[in-house]
Amino acid sequence: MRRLLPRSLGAAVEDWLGRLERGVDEASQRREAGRWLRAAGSLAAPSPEAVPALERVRAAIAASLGLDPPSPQPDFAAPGPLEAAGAPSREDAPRALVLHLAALPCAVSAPDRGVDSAAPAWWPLAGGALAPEQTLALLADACLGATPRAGRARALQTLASALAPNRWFPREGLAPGAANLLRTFVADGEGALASYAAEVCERLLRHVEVQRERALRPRGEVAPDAGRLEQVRFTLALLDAAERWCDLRFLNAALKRSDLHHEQWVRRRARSRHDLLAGLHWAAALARQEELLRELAP
Amino acid sequence: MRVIVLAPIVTSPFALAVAELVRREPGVELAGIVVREHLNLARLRSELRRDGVRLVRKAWRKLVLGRAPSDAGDERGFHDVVRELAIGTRSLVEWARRHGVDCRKTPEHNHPEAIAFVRECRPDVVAFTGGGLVRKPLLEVSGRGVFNSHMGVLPRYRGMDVVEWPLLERREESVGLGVTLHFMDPGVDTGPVVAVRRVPIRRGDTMERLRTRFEPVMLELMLEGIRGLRDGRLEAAPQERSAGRQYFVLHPRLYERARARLAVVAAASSS
Repeated sequence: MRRLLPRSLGAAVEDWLGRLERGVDEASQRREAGRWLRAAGSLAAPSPEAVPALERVRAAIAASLGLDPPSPQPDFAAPGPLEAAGAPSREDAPRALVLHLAALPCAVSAPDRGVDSAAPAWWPLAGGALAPEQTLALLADACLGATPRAGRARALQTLASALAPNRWFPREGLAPGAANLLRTFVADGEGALASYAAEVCERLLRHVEVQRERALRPRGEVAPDAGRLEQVRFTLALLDAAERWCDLRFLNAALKRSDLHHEQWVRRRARSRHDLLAGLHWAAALARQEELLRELAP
Repeated sequence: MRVIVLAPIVTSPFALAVAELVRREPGVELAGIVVREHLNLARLRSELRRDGVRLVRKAWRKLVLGRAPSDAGDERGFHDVVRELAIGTRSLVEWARRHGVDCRKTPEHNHPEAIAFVRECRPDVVAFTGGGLVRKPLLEVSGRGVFNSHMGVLPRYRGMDVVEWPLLERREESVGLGVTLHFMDPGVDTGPVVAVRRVPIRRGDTMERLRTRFEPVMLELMLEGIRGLRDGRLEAAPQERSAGRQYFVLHPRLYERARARLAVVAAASSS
């Protein structure tokens, strides 16, 4: 008899609002991630040596999200042992592979608008404390990991001394390369550098939580697709912070940022290399999020 | 002693209860009420961006359904207190008219009109019952300060969803859930702390029941603060900035985990 009775209007509206409140549909996000993983197969790697790493990143992200592995690039040879390729071991995937991925785009985009064009934007932020050529060298060292670890620590220390935490997110917009630089601080910072990284991340958290869709706007001279890539790299930086300090607030913010990316651009077609990279980064962020949800909020 | 009440909306049961209890309190005069205008598009847009569908759902429940008794079970909340006090109206404006209290509607609490009104009233203290941050110009005309009943244990849990965050972080025992009465400052829940009262989790609790249990505690602490100030025995301890963190609105996926954690803790509770 109860089944014959219609549900009340109030209960029906409650159900509908409950569905809306649960936010972006996770299954739809995974489908989009699969699409971007397949599309990223057309990314031109910066060198033949980088191809295996890129392919392993795509495969690891797909595995983490429970998706079918994307077809490899046509000229990709069968992979040798991951260790022999210099990539992290399979046990570390996708976390370490995503960090590896973070290093790739700097090299990939350098001929376009990458590190070499970032220096002028960083120069005023460092308050004139560094000569332009020093800034470029430090940024290159910090982002590309070209120097040995000890050398990188010195480079980061010099940058941290010149760039106060309250100057990372200025009103006039972010400098390109800021996200990967922050990720390097979070990954490598020890002692005072770790405290510096924590303070910058706290500012990032407040910035994205308060500004929401207005957050992380790039400077005017940055192309929109490069700006989107930078934004999703900051989502990865939030996930780095969540993992480094076991702080769910950063995971919370990253979940919201991923939803925002999904709403704003993920469902569009890729029109440029930056779009492909942004899509790949977003898929990597989804994979990382799922992993951190299991670890930090079981 | 003169008190002003700041209210988020005309039908706020918390503000109504505070106003009525202040009116009845010996040695205390309710000098005025400032209530935010309901239809302020800029503010609604901002709140919708921050809280999303949760705001719509909250408004639907409060304004259209009224409080749904089944949500909070037999927990006594603001609406029950208002009924017990026999206030006789749901509107602050109507209540103020009946009792000859000056009630002003302004776009928001920090609006120049609101500040001018509070300055004219020369309050000894202001009782904040909701409606966004209070900025320096308003704080400066609020006598001793602005009391806020925060739904979290300070200094540890500042900001939003601080009933849920301790559950998510599994700190419901070590830090606990509770209400803090504090003076507001320009920061987010960083002002000097007057009193903290823990709120227990009971067997069978849902998030709705638990949150409702906070409501009478918020009211009691607010009145205790006012009486303490009147009687000259109020003490407020400054917060160490580094002793707490700011929390934000929970993503639905983490909110569900907090709910699940509450179900586990409530099932294990002996009370």
